[in-house]
Amino acid sequence: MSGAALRIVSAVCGRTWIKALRRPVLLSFSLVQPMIWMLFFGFLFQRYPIEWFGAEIRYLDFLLPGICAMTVLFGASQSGIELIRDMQTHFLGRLLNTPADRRLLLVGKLGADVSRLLAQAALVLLLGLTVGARISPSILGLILSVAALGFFGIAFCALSCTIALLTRAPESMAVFVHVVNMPLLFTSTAFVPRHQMPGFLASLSRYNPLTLAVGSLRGSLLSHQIPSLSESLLPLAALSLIFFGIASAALSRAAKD
Amino acid sequence: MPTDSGQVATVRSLRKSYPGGVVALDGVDLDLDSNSVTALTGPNGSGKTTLLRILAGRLAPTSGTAIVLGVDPAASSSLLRRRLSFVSQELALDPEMTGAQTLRLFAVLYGLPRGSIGARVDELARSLELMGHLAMPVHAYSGGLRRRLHLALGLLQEPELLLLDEPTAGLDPAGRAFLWGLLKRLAERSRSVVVITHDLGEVERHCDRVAVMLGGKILAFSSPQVVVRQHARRMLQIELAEDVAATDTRLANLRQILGAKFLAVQRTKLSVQLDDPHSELDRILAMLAAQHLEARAFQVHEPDLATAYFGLTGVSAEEPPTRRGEPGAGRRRGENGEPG
Repeated sequence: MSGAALRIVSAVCGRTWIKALRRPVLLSFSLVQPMIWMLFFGFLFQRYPIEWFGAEIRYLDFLLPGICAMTVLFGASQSGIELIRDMQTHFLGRLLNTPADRRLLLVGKLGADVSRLLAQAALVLLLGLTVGARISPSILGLILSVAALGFFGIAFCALSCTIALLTRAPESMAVFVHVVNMPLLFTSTAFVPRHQMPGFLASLSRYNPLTLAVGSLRGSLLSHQIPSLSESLLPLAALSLIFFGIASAALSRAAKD
Repeated sequence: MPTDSGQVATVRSLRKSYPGGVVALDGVDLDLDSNSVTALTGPNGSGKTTLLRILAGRLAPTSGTAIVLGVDPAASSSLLRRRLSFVSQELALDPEMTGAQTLRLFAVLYGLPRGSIGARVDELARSLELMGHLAMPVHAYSGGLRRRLHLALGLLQEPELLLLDEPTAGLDPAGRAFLWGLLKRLAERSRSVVVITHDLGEVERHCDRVAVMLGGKILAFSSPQVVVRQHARRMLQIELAEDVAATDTRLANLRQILGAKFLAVQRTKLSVQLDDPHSELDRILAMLAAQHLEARAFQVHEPDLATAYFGLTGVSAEEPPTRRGEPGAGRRRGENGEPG
């Protein structure tokens, strides 16, 4: 990436970060929500048997990576809201009619959103540790699983942006949560190990991108595993590229009236 | 860079229709000179904004061709976006950002060299009188300040062609005067400006060319002086005491008596062509009285761009504020006054 391109990405990234920091209530809520899920699920199912991971792993430990990935998923689904605000103020049209490459504008926006979501996930991880969860991470595994989670975040931020650009309606974001997030969450291994799921759900969860992200993170945090390149990193990277391409096309289309 | 012929834009047989059969542009031909200020004027819905948006590459025409700065704007190339700036009528600002943050963001997006951004932002802020407001969030700006910031973003990269859609809307008289001066200075610095406006007095003073549009067509396109010479007529505008329906028989009678001199009636305003005020004024007022139409006040408009506009479009542009109800403002017998 050239110096000029980097300046464009960092300028858009900076603007997105500034706007996020100006909404502390939203930022706090995005931390409170996963904590509520963790406390309720963690203590409700504390006797849930997860012997698959070894006797020393409790349900709260098992749940924590799932909640971290869920934080990224829920936050990513709201990524498009900012674009809808920008469309409502005509600001997006103005951004798109500068000579800047529109893909760089998207890279800047997604970069800010995903880095914020990963920071939030890290905070959730720390909060989880303070309420009693235990982890035993491997550094390389953790780095690669954060990359996997980042790819997952890019994919779903881009999907949210695409829906926002196509529908131009804030209501569509609420629909997104119900139609995409919830099915994705409950057909993944975020809360339950795959071998304890009903047969069809277990098969379905194997192809769920959230399962891939959670699996990488859980393996690296709880059992020193290195995420598989072919089974999690590459599929998630490919998914993020595909959704980025679709969002770029939607952004170019939005430049026309 | 303008084309070899010294034109920044050439439009041929341009047509734009919207779903539902609305025809916004109906075969427009236009040549825009470089280093000049061109005004587009006409009643609402006459196609001015559609034409400007097509020139800016924001809208694709249904048929016809437009070449802007040597390229097809519909391709919306990055290079054209660098050389051309479109300032829309609606303010396109982020209310949460400060003026400085907004200007700096766009300076980067327009590819200004890093070292020159601070100086360019300061220069624009000084010339648009935004200097003391740069640290404030845009939501705290007054309407006039927002308009200036909106315009400043369009000027950041010093475009070769600046397209402005009603930039004076919401500006006070001082702001308007400032803006027109700025546009004139831009043209002097080898920049070309196309501006949509209803401010006909300013068009006459500051624009090199004016296009009067109606129903998606260009009715006249020349220098303001030529348009005035070819289309303006002295006009008597009479304020009637009652709101007269277009179907009123008294108006029909009057139309018959006055013939081609009867121009239009808009609610309480009756417009009549007046060739010789000395001989015709009293006669016309007497005709009104004979039709039991009471004239509350009247004014004579000397031939100018406003009367040319009226003659071309059949509707009046914005009322010139200095010519109405101001005793002594160029007043002579029968120019502004109560019917005797």
